[in-house]
Amino acid sequence: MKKQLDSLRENTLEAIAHLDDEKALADAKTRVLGRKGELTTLLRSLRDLPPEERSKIGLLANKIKVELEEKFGQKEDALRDQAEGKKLAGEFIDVTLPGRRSIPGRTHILNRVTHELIEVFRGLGFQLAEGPEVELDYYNFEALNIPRDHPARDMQDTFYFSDNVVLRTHTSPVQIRTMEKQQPPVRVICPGKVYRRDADITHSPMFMQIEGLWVDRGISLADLKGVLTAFVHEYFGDKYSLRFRPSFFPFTEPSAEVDIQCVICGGSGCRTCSNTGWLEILGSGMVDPELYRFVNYDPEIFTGFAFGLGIERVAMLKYGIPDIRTFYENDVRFLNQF
Amino acid sequence: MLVSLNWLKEFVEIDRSAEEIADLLTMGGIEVDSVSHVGHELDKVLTAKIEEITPHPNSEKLTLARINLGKREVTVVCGALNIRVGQLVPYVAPGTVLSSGQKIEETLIKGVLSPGMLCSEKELGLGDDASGILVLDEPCEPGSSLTEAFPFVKDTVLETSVTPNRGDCLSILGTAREVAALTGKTWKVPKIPIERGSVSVNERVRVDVPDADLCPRYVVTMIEGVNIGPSPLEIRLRLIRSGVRPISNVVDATNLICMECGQPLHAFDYNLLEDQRIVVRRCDPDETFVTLDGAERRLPVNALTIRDGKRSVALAGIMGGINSEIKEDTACVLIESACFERFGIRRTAKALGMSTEASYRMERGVDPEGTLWAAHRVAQLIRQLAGGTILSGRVDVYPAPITRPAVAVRTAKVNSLLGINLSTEEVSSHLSMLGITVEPVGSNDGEVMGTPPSWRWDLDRDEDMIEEVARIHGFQNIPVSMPRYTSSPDRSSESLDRIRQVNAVMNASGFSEVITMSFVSREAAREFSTQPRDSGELALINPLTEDNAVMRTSLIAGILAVAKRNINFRSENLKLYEVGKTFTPVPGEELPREDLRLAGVATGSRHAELWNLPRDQELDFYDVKGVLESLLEGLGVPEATFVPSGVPFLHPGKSADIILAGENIGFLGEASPAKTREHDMPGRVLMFEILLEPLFLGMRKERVFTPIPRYPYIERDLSFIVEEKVSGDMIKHLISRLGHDIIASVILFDLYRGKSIPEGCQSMAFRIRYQSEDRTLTDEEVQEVHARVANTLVRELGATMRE
Repeated sequence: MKKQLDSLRENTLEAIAHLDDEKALADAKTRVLGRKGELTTLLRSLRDLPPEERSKIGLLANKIKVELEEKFGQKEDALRDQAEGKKLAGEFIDVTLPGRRSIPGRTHILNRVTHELIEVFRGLGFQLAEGPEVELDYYNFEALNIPRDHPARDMQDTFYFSDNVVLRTHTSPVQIRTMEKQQPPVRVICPGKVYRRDADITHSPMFMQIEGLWVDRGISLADLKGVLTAFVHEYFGDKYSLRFRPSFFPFTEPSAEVDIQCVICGGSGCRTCSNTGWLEILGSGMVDPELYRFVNYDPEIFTGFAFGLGIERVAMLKYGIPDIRTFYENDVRFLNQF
Repeated sequence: MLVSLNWLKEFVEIDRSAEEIADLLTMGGIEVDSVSHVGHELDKVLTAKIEEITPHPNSEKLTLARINLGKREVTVVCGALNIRVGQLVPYVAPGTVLSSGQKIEETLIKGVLSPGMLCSEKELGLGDDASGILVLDEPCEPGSSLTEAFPFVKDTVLETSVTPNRGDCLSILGTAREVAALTGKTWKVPKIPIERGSVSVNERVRVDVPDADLCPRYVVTMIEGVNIGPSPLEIRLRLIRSGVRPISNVVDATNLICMECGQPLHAFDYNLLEDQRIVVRRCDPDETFVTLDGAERRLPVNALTIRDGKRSVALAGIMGGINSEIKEDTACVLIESACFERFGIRRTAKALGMSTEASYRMERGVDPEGTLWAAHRVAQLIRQLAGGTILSGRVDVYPAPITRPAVAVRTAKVNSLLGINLSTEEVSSHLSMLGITVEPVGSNDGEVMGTPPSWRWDLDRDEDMIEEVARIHGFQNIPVSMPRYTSSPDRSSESLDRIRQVNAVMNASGFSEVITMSFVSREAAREFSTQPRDSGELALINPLTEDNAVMRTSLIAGILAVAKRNINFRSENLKLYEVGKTFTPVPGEELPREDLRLAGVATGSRHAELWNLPRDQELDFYDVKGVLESLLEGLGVPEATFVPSGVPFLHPGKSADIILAGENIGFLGEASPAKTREHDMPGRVLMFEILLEPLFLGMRKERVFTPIPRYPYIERDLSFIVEEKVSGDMIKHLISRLGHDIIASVILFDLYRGKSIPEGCQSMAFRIRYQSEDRTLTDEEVQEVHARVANTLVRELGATMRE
């Protein structure tokens, strides 16, 4: 019996060592370890042996079974690894080819810039306010200290629906609407579309502005300079300096035009800045007390500043877009660049 | 305004470069747009005296001019007819480059060699006159350089842009005052010698101003015995460099003095005035009047006119009349120097659509104390240029002198508004620089009274004075500070956040945003409107073109035009959307309703043209519906439903209305074949439009947790043939209703119409998932419900089960 077992072991080990085919190995395993396999049959015949021999041989037989199972296992793994290795060696794809995906669309660059500006100003303490695009003459002009016969009306060519109703020429009417609704402190930014009767390479009859208003006790021109400087440094980068120069807007007094150092040439002078090194970017000023009269604020208690900037102008400077009309032609080759 | 530096220097001392002055003015609030150095290229042009003129041997049109250049003489060929022996003319030698870029060479002209040429005004860049050779009108040494002999030829011109509040800076004098204030110099005006005849102007003309409300001051001066002719080069050049066309000495003088001091002046031919009278009053009703430019104008109500004894002779402060204009034979000139009420002038000019140098200044306010000075100054200049005698006496109708009230300026307020710390002395000194008379207020040492000078119309409140302090102090010298505030939660950007959500869904679905004009043509507005027909459109009174005559009532027309434009540029696979407002008039309201909408247009292939994506699949209804479903789900309004639509511009069988809370809030669908053809679209066009406000309102504010099922599900399929008119929604609802609480989901996973299916029918396959929240379902239980579902479909919808 022992001899039989030893020889089975030896034969099987040799077979395992020589077999190099998964199928043949599986057959060999079945032949030895299967339900009707040689070793199984031998083990089954153990019960015919006398008890003292049975336990001795049984121990040997089990040892051999464990050994063979392990050897079969090792060989199986080896053969599978070998086969897999061979298979992998033959399998490859071109990983440089594009993946399967749907191409996302883009939000219009002007709205993206608007959102960016809103975020900067919200970070500086402003809240959002909105108003209608078709506006009463009262809000667009009268309450902003632009009476009907004033030459300041020439600054803005207006689209009219009737004597009293216009397409807003700036986002400033939202200032009045906001102040009508609440007492100071007021800190709002008002983005939106505005309209002027003008169309050429630098003018679109519809364009976008963002307006800011901050009214509270003790607000000064120095605060206006501070907030706008913070904005420019945050949005364009703090290497750009600003300059404030006196100007005129009917709804602010004093008024200031704000220039930033040319973002194209860095201030050395180029075509974009007409060789001045400066780019006009914002109109601003201290809220004219005349406006407070319209909204019942006490100008002896409250002061404030307001500013407005053109979104297209900002986008043109930031991205080097030369012609304002590009924004409204909506060529997908343009839209998809941003 | 164009400001000649030479001229400016007559009024203020300038010891800085033009660029420095430009920068100073810009930083002081008078923006200088450009600085041009002019005439410097004329150094090489020589003055030449014509010694002899002989005919050209080979041409009747040409002559040969022998000219004296001081040390030498040359003979040049000349084509101009105006040259005479003895004249001084400009000559350019070969090798010189003119300002136009033209290089002068020694050339053979009809067989005669011409070493250089004589030049016209235009060739030298000194004016527009190209009709003949420029004849120099002052004696000079032949052979000297033009710029040496006539130094005024070299100049620097600043182009200023003056804000509407600073009418006082629309002149050389005004600019000089500003330069003086900014540099700490004093400005000066030239003295006017008094040389008058014996006859008094009052003997020659009677002036009445019945409408003094529109004409606070009216001054007249007269010059008799003038000779009308061209002005000398210096005067012409000054005008040209100020942007004014020279006409004749008298007219040029009025224009020149207007540019110099900002006071518009008008010259009448005295002999053309009837009855020796001037009457300043409103026009007659329906009056027509022919202005100097030859246009016959119907005068608006309340237009102020200058009249003689019988008729209007000028439109006050805007333009003179053709009936009294200065002509070659004018011998006696009547000059008007007036201060008209500025808003009246503006109303009339605006109504007539006119803007002249005069009206521009009048509207912005002229110095009421400057009228008399201007009248004297122009009379003197006319006498100098055209001869004659200035009449003595004066006509100066100024019944109610204009005064400027003093304004209280508090140092504390100056400092708090500007965020600086000036002393009262500094405030006073800054104001004084601008000609503001400053007087202390006895009781309070922090307060002064400032009286603006007569030329400033814009300083009637303390804020105005504070701005002046800031200007003189320099905006750059104001410190930078940050305002303090108390923070609070900010809900203000909610609607913006939702729009961003819309953008996120649309972008993820492959749609790119466009922004189109809010106004469209009348036809486009009607074409895609889903509003009731009678609500109409909001029409502009003054549209730029008929293409944008009315406010849009739908965004579709704009997006479709963009799609078309892109297709023309061969971008043919398009998914475009816009978020924007539409405008609907509301009866009884002045302002329209503004509705925020989302709309889109899609056309072309479903997939990008890529090696690993299916080809030849055109976008269809369900692509767009899927996007809208994503949107509705993303915004948390899944209860919106889609029902067949009757929108006229859509395919009747492939369009849907979107219903939310019983309201129709939009549509989607395939454009009708007619529309597709009409807009010349190459393939199927999908479009949708949806109101955003109802979606935002319907948004689920808070989500509630639903427990995750713990028991396994069983899936069963149902496959059947049913009539096409039975909708997917009907079947789904029916199945769900029958399922009690054990149907978790119903999904259509196959739909087929066509071969092997009877006409008018469709084959549908649904997968039903059965699941319970509280137990594991048994096969028997599921089978029973599933069989009931099948039976009901057969019974109620006439379905035929398959397999």
